[in-house]
Amino acid sequence: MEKTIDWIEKDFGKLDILVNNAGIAIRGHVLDTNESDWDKVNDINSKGYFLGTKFAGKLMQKNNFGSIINIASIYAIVGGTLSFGYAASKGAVRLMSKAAAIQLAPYKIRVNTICPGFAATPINKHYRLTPNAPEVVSIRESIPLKGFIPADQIAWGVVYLASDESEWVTGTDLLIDAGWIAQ
Amino acid sequence: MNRLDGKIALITGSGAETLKSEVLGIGGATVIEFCKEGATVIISDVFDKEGSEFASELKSKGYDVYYKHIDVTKNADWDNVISWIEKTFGKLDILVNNAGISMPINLFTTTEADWDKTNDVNSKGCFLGMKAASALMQKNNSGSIVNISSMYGLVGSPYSVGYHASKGAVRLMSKAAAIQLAPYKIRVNSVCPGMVMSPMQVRKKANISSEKWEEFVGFLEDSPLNKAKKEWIPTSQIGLGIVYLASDEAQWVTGTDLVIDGGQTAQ
Repeated sequence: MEKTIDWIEKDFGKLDILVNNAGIAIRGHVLDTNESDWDKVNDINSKGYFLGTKFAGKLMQKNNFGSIINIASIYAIVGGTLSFGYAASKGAVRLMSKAAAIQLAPYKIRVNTICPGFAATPINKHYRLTPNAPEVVSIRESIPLKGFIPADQIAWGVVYLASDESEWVTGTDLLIDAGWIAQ
Repeated sequence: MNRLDGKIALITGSGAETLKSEVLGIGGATVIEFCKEGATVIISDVFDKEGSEFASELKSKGYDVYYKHIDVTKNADWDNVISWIEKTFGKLDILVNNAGISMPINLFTTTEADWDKTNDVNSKGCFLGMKAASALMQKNNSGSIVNISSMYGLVGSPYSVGYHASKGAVRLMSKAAAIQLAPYKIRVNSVCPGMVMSPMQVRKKANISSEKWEEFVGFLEDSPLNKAKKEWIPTSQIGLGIVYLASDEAQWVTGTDLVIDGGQTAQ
């Protein structure tokens, strides 16, 4: 992270936007989650975002400007049956974003979270490959808009939060979840 | 600048100011952002003189804008305008329930009449609007409703009670409507603005010294970004958030709150 931020500073002299998107999902009930799974998912999903926010924040601070967008999940808001360490890591993302938003506001750096619902991403390729599998059908039926969210729709939310159109949006969560959390 | 091309949009509480006013309210600022993005906009308000003037100012700039009278608490006003929209355009794509009032009175000083008035305009008006508009949107299996709540729909404050109740109602009725209208692909979301530089604040600022103003700002808001920028949120920023929710960029966003408050409720 440090290396890349240094390179950005040398090459461009500034950084306007950081999207902390890298993440993994390890499925597992609390009783089946072993310590190494926990560490792995929390290292990437949670500690990775901390390091990114810290080093990008240092460069953004020099310009008194910046927008950081952290990708969390609907499972940063409610619990589910299928994963435990993942939920912890995404909950951490949401709250570290709020803390960072407060701490970086004096430098006019904004920090927000996006909470996608069930998205048609490569991680979830079974939504597309086996649309009639009972598990996929039951997830789809649980979504008010009855479908899986295309990845570009998440990207449009990131564009909004990154752009000057959201200059006064910070410390909040943008849910792109087809109404799933609202019910 | 075509994110709302071809869309028909109705925005309530958007005709109290004109381009000659020092600043536009959230409704007026939203009208401007919608025009810039190519929408056909129906301005509505109870201030017919200002509203008509605002519409003709925008028409003379080449925008497709109309003014219609709606007292949001009157079912008949809604029915009139929605059937006019159906006859004239054949559809309604976007409704922004923006009309609202506030009174700086707390639990002890709020009378029953104050309570009724605030909740009639802010809460019942929003219900009547969603009901009337969604009946038309349903015919096209498409639509986006944006209801203006407030950060005071999320947290409490010393200043008001009926306003909090009404804005909390807006937030939750939006979620209920989002679930109930999802089968017709009608999306419903709330926007929760923080401390906005509204026409009311501008009038206040003009009447006090800059030192007093800074003291007032410091006293009234604790938002981290307000503090850093030493200003209140421009209404155009709320308008741009509404553009996002109204546009096809937010096709999968429903039943949620977009908080535009400079971080005030994150702390």
